[in-house]
Amino acid sequence: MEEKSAKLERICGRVFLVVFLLALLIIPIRLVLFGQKNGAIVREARYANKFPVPKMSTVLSGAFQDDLEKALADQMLGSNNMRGIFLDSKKTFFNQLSWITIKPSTKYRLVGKNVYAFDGRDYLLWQNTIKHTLETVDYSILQDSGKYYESLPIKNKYIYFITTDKDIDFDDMSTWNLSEMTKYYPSFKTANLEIPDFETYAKYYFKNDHHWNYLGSYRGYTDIVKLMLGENEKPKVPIETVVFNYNAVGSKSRTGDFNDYKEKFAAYRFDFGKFDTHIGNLRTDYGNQNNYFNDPKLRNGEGDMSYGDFYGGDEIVIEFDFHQPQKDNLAIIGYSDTNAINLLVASHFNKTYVFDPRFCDRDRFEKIITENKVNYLLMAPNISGFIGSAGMKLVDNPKGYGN
Amino acid sequence: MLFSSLTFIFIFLPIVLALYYLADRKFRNVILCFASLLFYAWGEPKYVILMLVSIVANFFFAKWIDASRHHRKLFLILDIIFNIGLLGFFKYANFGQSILQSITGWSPNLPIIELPIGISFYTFQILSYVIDVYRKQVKVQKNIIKLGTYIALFPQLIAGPIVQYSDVEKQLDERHESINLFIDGAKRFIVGQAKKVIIANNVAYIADTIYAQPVAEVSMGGLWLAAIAYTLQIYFDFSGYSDMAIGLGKMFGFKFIENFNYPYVATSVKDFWRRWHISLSKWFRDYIYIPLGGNRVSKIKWVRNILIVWTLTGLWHGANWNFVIWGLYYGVLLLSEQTILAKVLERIPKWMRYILTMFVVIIGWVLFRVENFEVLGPTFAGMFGLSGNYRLSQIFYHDYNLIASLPYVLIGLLFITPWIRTGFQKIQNKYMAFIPIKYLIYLGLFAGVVICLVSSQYNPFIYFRF
Repeated sequence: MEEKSAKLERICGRVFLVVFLLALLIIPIRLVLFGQKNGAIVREARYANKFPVPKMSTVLSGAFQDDLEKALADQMLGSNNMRGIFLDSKKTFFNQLSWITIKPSTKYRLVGKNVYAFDGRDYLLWQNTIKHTLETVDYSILQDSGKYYESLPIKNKYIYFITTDKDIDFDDMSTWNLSEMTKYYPSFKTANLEIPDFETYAKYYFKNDHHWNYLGSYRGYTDIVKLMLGENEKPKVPIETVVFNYNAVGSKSRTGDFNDYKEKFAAYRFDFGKFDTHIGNLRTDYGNQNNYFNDPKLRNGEGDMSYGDFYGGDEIVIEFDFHQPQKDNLAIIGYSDTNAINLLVASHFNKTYVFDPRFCDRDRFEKIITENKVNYLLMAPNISGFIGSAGMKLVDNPKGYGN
Repeated sequence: MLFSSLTFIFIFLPIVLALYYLADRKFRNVILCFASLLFYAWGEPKYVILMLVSIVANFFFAKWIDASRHHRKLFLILDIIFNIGLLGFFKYANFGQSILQSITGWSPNLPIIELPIGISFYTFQILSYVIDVYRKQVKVQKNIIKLGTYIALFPQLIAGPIVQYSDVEKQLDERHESINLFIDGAKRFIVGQAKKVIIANNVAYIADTIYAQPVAEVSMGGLWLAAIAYTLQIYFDFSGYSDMAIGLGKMFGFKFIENFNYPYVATSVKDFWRRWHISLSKWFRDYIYIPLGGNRVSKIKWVRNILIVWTLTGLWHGANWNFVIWGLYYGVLLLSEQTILAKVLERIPKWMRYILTMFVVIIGWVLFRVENFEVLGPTFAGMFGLSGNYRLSQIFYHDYNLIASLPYVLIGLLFITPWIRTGFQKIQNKYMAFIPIKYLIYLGLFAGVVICLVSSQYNPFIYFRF
């Protein structure tokens, strides 16, 4: 028996050794069989890190070593599945103990990493920042930006605040006092997306993304048209409502790795007529909505869809030219919230320039608005972002993201 | 470079193993030496120069000590000054400056000096070699590559065990690699990885998160949870690294001493320190305590010796007053155990001695962890209910990772005793069929480690990018 046991131990030990050594060679095996992974890691909304090339400066600073570690993680055979297993096991542990997070004084309940459900509803919310920052926010940081935008030689100035879940405590509906912000922009006419209750929020926003859905963005668009151009200017009416087979996925499902709340991606279709788009100096399309509406294969496709994939991404500056020289030129300063309505708002103007203040510097912004005689300015921030970004201050040293 | 990294496991280790086993035996120390220097330089490109200077300087000092008749002690003293001086500068200069400033009001305004990783470990290794040469307990190493291999050997360079030269002297010249030793090493390496990556990293999150909160906002339960989590973290992290070091050593034919022996089953503080960081205790015993006279001196001198050793032990762990107090805490406890409390402890049942020991150990870890004295007092007050805060801390309502990490406390508690290991051994002795299952478990653990390492690079771009 002991002899048999020793023999079995010997055999199993050697098999174990072979498997262990082969496992150590998994990276070269993967590279030989499949090459480097180039594509996107959809779950994380980014591209796979590739093996870096060592340079003296990056080795000495440690950047090469960090990049190599990241690349190994992404290039590992089965890395996506591994992350899935890891996150699922974490979720299992969390779900067994989530009763700890039930707090009688609030209807918010933690359901994933940094994401909450409210009152048992199947919508993911960020933690609202109101109570945490209301007493500590320094409104004076808005002063500089206010002075700058007030000084611009643009005749018509507007701010449309996009109210998101970060801006409301749904337990008591407390929210920001917008007049504390707008007092630094006295010549601006202002309005905001009104969210009087959770039902309105649920109507206007995706279940698992921080952006507004097609109903919310259309509401925002109609509010903006009324704010900027008055009651006489009629907003565009959708020619079709399309509910795709794609699952709408977004930032909250990514960060929380929470895919339990599902909904189909829906969008309004509009007839925009003839227009041209330039992103930077490149004439191109913005977003993919045309393709999704018109290409039968895409229209009837399945899988996941994100807000940005449909409407378009964040760029330094985008130009929409509707060839309506009798109309005014507009500058929009916004984050990704305006991606869904840029084209809609631009259709009421001749040329529209959309700037992302995170990436566009003042010099470029001023050059464009001066050269193109822009006489309408619309700022359309989400509120917490507006405070956090010092009133949409344009960057001093742009990092050149996008174009 | 860290053992628990994809770079080490999938690039460094296979390449070094391949070069080592393909090379002729006479080149294997060269390969290990250069691989170890590369290993060190990977994380500390500038400080590898310091290590090279240390190797060369100590090589010559040891040769001079060995060759000299009349100046052996002088060379030893100079060597000790050199090594302690380097350690002192990099580790204690800023601390010394703060002491000087608090006493005299004056400070030389030193910049913040970075601590080269592993310097405490390799300095003590070097000193053990040079002192043993002086004592004529080992032969001087005439081959600088072999000495470099001993000092820089990557398995134990960063976190021990502190390998005394006498333990590896023969192994540097002749060691016998074998498949069975390699398999043992691989198994040990995997266990160490699992301890570190699966248990330690997760309980660390609990301790770090709770201790990062303002102490007034953390309840009594939260503080005890943090203390227990840290107790588990430091054990699984440190013993995990030792397991990896010992395992890697075996893969290259080395047999290092054990560094941990289930310290959390100790029934006295003395027993605890026989089981915890054994190589450090052995070093202090051999090079400080015994040369001072140990316990073969008058009672007053014995007390002095204990307090010196434990002050230095505390200082070795970190350049801050809390570490000094932590060391003295154990010094006083050890003295008490062997004097005023000796008779009392003999009479109480074993389970009670165990609970008392774990209690003092946990309190000691809190002292070790909370470096800020302004927070230390309120932390202890909170732990003993004096702050009146019994409500669940806010962080538990908002931190997903914290909740998801809690089960690892239970998993950790399960593995601090040898019960699982002895249980597996009994099952294996009874049922032969368990042998392949055992190896599957090792491979499963390795897979779990890789999954955790790959997932630690989980980095979703929250907002839309493409």
